[in-house]
Amino acid sequence: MSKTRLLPPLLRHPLKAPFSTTVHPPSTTPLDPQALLSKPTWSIHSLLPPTTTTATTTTTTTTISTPSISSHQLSHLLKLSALPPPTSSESTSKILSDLHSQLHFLAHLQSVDTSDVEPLSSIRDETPEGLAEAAVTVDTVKEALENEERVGKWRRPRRRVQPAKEQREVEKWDVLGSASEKVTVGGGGYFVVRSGKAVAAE
Amino acid sequence: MVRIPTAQLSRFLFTGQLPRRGCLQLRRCPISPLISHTRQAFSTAPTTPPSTEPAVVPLRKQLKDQAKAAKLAGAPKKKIKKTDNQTVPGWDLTVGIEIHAQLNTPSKLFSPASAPSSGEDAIPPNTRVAPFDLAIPGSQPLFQPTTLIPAIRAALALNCQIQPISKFDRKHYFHWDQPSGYQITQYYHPFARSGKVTLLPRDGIAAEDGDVVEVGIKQVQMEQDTAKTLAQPNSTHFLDFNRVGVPLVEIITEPCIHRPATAAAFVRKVQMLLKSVDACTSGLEQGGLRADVNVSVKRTGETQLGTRTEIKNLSSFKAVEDAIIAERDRQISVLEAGGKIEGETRGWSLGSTETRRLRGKEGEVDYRYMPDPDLGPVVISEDLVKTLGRTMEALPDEEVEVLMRKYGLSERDAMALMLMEGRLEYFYGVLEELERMLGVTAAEDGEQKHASLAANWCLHELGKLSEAEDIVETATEVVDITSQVPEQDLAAILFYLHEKKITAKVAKDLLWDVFRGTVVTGGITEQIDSQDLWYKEISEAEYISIADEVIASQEKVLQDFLKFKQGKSKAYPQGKLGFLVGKMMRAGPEQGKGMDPSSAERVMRSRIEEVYIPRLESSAPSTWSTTAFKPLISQGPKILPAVVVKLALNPEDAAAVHLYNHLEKDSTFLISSALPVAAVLELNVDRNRAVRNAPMDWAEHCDMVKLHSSSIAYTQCEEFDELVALGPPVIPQLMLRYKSRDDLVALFAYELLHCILWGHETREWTVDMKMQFDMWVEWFEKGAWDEAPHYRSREQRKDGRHV
Repeated sequence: MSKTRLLPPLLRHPLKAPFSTTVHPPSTTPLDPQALLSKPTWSIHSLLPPTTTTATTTTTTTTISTPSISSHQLSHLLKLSALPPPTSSESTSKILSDLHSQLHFLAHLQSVDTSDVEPLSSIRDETPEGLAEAAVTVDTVKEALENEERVGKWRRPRRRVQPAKEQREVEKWDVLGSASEKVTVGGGGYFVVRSGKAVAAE
Repeated sequence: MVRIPTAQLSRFLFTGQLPRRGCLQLRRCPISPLISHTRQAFSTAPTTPPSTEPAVVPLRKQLKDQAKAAKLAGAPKKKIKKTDNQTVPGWDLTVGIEIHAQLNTPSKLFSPASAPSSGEDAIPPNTRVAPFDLAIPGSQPLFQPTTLIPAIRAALALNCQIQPISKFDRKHYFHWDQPSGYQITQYYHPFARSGKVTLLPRDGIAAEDGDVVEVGIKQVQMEQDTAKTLAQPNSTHFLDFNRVGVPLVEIITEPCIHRPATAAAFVRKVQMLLKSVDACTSGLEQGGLRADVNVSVKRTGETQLGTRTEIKNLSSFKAVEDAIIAERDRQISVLEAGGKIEGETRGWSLGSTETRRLRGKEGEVDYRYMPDPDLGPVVISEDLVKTLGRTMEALPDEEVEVLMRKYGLSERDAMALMLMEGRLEYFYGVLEELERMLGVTAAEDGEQKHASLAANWCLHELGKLSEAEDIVETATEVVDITSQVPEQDLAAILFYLHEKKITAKVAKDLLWDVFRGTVVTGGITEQIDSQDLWYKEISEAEYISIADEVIASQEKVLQDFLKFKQGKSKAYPQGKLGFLVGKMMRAGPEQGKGMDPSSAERVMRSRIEEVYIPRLESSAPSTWSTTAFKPLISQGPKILPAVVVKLALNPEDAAAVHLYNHLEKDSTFLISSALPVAAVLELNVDRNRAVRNAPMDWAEHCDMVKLHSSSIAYTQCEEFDELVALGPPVIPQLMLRYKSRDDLVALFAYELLHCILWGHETREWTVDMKMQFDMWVEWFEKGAWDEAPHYRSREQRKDGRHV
């Protein structure tokens, strides 16, 4: 499996320093803001595969090679995602072309060199203070540790098990309400799931 | 009776044919060899060719042939014992194990709902579910830090390095028992790595693995559990989501196990470790712990490991070993046949001989592991790890070492106690109580006989109680023996047993009384007092007398001991000693009630060495056999004067010395190192002088009362009593004096002889006193000492004559 490295597109472009050290000489011709802003310097279409219908020119023409997906691979992917298989060849080709353009987009991202960048799993406070705040210490679990007793000759710590007489707050809601099919048998209610031939029969 | 036609008869005799007509349709009998030979002998015409009918094979033979053919064809091979089946020559087995254990926590991993704990009654289904457990849209995971306590303890028990920062990942697959479509686990950054578990032979590793096996642990990670499915008929399933989200630890080993028994031992050891640090709720057999095994084989000498297959659904330790052996054999047979092993998932069920395929390679799931974006990293502070490590107390290995070293238990007993946790604590309780009673404080290592005694009783004697017939064991409940035998009572029994105040048999009976609850109020001491079960050992002197008694009839056995002493046999005849001790115990009071077998053995051994062997030895000349000696001894003290004369002639005659010592009834006259032969001879001369004159006084008295006819006048006098007191030495003098006399009056000497020999007179009314005396003369000259005429009254007589 491949790790997808998601990087915000902004990094693709070099960051401009907030305070520029270079001093531009005064230009002779006055700047025309209208002219400047009327032409886009970059379009998202540059990230999409070139099509015959669109005539927009792209500023960066990089040849990206996108892998082609076979219909066999497509059915495997749909099975993995628990999505229904395509019904007609038209829908298959539609899905495949969508997939192709998405992969082209991703190929642009993957072309960036990230060899010395640590992969990001989530945006959290990773400063030492932030980590210290998130750390689990003896204080954090103080109550649980006090709820233990020393048992036996070797005085080994054992958790005191108090059988709960009633449910906790978080457990008090209609659990079976979300069931499409349920049954009450003996001790309580169960969710019902049907599999195999019974499903096919329906 | 109808006359049988000759033709029919001859046909039967020669060919075995019987007439077919009639209600009985008989089968043709096979021709006996004798008859056929006779037929050949008699027939002149050339023999007809054999009939075209196929030979009829009898049914019994047919069945036998079929069975033999079946046996040769598809016979199952002879069953190899598991201990011999650990290695297949030419092939190397590699096993990796993944253990999932349910953590013992108050809440689930990512929601505050409560987790089920061991020892709780059954909870109604779907009542301990938080919205996140059902993946209700919008619910978020909330990591519960209390789940780290048993997780860190488990990792520390497995000697792992705890990682300060670890992260959660998603493992995607669709199944009805996983509502969110993914399981949150720690694939890339687990919270513990690089551990190891040390296995010793006492843990049950294969013998081929040597003295120690170190199994490396690759990582320990936390993950969620799935829902419980109850299969119903018609492909229907009932789901109970109480268990979703309960924290599990997954322990992944390096592929460094090479024998099936070692794999099973590893799983057992991990379970024991997790239980001792209170990390898991229940064991493999109860479903709290699950083991998946990866098996691969390669030929010996190859460097690359073969393709591995995974075996799931192993529910007991025996299943682990059996499944690995079956899978190894299957893989070897496939490879030897030229096939290839596919990396598939296989299952095992109890009692099967081969693993079965659950999921092939094409059904392999692509889990698409990805870091979970909803959860932050788990940061574990060092002080928490240190605190938990410090308060963990001794692990089972150390406890077993202490049991063996400090309390002197055998390895087997120590391991047996370790595996029964309740019994172990009970043993400690009993031991503490016993030590308090004995007044033993911290004793040195090894001097712990009372500890071994307590362990023996806690294991084996209590075990015997559970085999009592009137205990009813239900399928779900195991009768707890320790609850019925209080620690104080058992400690009291062991205390008295240790102090040798009661015998072992009495102690066992008392244990049964305690178990049955029939002990009197006041405890064990009262019980012993009330039934007077105290052990009163008999004195040393009594032991010695019993030993003498036993030896008197066992001369032959002493010869074996003499042979050992003389160096003719190599081993001490311990068996013979045991035989003698057994005879002593039987001869002792009340079937050995007051006798201690070890004291009896000690006494017997010392008596043999000090008294009996020297006595045997002082009969030094080996040329002198016992067969010649016996008749002389049987003559008794009446031949003593002859022996004395012999000694006088040759004081060095050892035979005579020995004979004299045997015959002499008066212990002050015995020849010994203190009293040499010469001195004893002098004493004998004096004694002879004394007894020579004694009968004269009595003779005078008899003369005075000779007109009396009854014997009383002759015997009721001082002189008579004096003669009796002198004892056997006086007998030869009497014989000399009265042998040839015909004087009827003086022949009351027979009364005197009877009195000396048997302690009482005959008082028989007799006319012929001469005859009486003649009997004595005959006895004196020829008879053995025991064969002296003994008068018994009419009531005592059995056959109406003197003995």
